[in-house]
Amino acid sequence: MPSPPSAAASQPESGRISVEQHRADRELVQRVVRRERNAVDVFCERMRFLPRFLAASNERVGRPLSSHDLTDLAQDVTTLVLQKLETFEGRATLETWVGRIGYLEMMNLVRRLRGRARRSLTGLEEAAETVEDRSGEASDEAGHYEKVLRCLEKIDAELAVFARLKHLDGLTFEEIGISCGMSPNTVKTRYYRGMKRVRRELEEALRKDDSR
Amino acid sequence: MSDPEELNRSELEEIEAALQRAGAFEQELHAEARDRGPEPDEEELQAALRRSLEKGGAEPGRRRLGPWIGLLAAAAVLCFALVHYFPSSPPAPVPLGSGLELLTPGDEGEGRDYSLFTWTFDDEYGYFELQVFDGDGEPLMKDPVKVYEESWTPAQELQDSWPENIVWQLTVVDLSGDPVDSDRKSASRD
Repeated sequence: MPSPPSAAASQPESGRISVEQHRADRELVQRVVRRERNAVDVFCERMRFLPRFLAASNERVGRPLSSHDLTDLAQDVTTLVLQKLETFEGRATLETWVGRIGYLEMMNLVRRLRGRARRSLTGLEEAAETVEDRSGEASDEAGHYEKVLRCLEKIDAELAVFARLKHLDGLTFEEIGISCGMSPNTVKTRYYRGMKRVRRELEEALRKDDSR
Repeated sequence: MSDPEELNRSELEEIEAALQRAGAFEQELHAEARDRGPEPDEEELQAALRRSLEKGGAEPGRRRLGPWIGLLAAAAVLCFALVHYFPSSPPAPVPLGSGLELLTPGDEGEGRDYSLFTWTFDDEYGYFELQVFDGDGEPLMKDPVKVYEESWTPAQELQDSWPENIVWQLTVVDLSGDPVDSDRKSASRD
């Protein structure tokens, strides 16, 4: 059996993700879907990254979640990942894909807990304040990242993928072309079309923020 | 950001900068995750994942469903009864609340397609569950999708796979996980 990459191998140090890695991860996931034993071993090993990623993300948003919350969240995200596994197209590394799902689920959970605490009638005012205060420590960067992920989710996947690959994954137009099987010029055309949608969605998100 | 259709250079740069800022944050998160030691629940999660994959279906979060199994079984019986007695229509919506309005897609109006599902709900909610049915009342997605905002864009492959006429059903689930409202709407594409 090939030795599985460690959980620490989630992203290249340089931040540049190779197209080959995307391709290899797509093949890995296809083999996991077919329940090939070696692939399952590698997949399970790489998914060790998830609790670490969620813990790191929790830190960056002001630690609103307890360790118990994080354990539950990791289970929920794992379930979600398994449900979505067949939709993984290899347009990000496995860890990037899982991380994005996990981050958005984490922010949903933070909001649910905050809402639940706020709705409690008696005795939990203190807890509500605590959740509110701690999640209020979330950095602008964390909020901005969530906003961008949600905007890209709203946009037609075929348009969003180019903006995502170029700016979040750091690929060049040539590399995106290789990854998606199209010429760099076609990639550019679709990229600019996608950016118009990104702009509309971001404007909308910012307007919602301003009105709060 | 003035013209809604065309991007000039400064607008493009502004959006690119916003995306790159998000990308930099993502890289930092991954770097911080790499630098962390093992988390206490890592082994347990990995074992549950492995069991789940080896069984080929059970989900890792299943053990937490214990208290709900009776309820789920009752729901399954109810669904079976509905499907059995009303095979040509989707499951009946939960007749609660009145603040839910399904907007698009529908049967009328320009640009009929399935690219954007939108609705409004007046009260606080936890999330929405959306399912799409064909004309015979058969669900077109394996599981309802969970949506946390008042809109949803299905993947292009999904849209392409759906027939010309569909019925979509939306259930509002509150913060405790209970359904509080539901409605459905027929839609068609040009």
